Amino acid sequence: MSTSAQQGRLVAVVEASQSVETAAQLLAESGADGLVVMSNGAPVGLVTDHDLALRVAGVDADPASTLVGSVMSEPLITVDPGASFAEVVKLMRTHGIRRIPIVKDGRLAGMVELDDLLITLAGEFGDLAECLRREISMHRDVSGPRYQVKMGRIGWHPHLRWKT
Amino acid sequence: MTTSQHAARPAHGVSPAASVMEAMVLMQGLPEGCLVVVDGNNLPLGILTGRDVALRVVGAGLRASAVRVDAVMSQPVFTIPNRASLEEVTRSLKSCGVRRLPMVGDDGKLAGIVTAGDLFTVLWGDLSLFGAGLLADP
Repeated sequence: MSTSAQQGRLVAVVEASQSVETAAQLLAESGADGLVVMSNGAPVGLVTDHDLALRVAGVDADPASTLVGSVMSEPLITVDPGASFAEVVKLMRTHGIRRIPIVKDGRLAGMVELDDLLITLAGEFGDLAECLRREISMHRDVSGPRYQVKMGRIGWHPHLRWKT
Repeated sequence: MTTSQHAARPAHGVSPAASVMEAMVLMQGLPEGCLVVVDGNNLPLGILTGRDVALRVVGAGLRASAVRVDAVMSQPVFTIPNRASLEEVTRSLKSCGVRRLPMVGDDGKLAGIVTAGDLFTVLWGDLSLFGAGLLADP
């Protein structure tokens, strides 16, 4: 197993010619929930713990003699390091995937995962919320009601009033 | 707002005595990506995820038909009352370090499941409404 930390997360990899038993052990060692499958130095597919459960255990295959290449998801969807946030999200949505390897000049350069995007987005929302909070405090008054959005529920906030 | 109304989906139970192969056949196509292991009274005993099976069955070189579900399921199973609020579910997902929480009724029986993805979708819907409100009254 080799790793790359150039972009996003460390990337755990497995060879297409290795057994699924080895792949599962690599998943355990790395803590990753998916491995990029390599063949002749190039990324060719992706295999997740879920794939191993359904495509190996689900058909009662022998883990020692089943090769990663026979259960991996392909073709591999990749992005180049310059891809925008929107491009990555669109690809994930179109293909129903949560992780996309970053490939530069045919070589694996990293991995971008939906969780990472979500954390980035949450930070942006936090900044936006701070802008709104400052604006609200500038206009705070006692003349009108305002609602507060709290964790998905719109609730009454009696202390915050809005200048009209 | 309660989770059972907005974020929950039906949970799928499996017997602890079933084979892992049978369980994985059941799990095909389930969006929640797990099975809740229940006893004969539908009380949760554990949870079986794809990762449990990958690491403890495939990684151990075992044939799935020869392994019982209760030998590889994750325990203890964290559950949440089906009347819990979104905040309570979010807090529990975070404190338990899990992506899925089976929900139980007052009798302790399996009543559904809520996942981090479902929760996010509900929150995202509210955020979109909030955004529309900001646009309407900038």
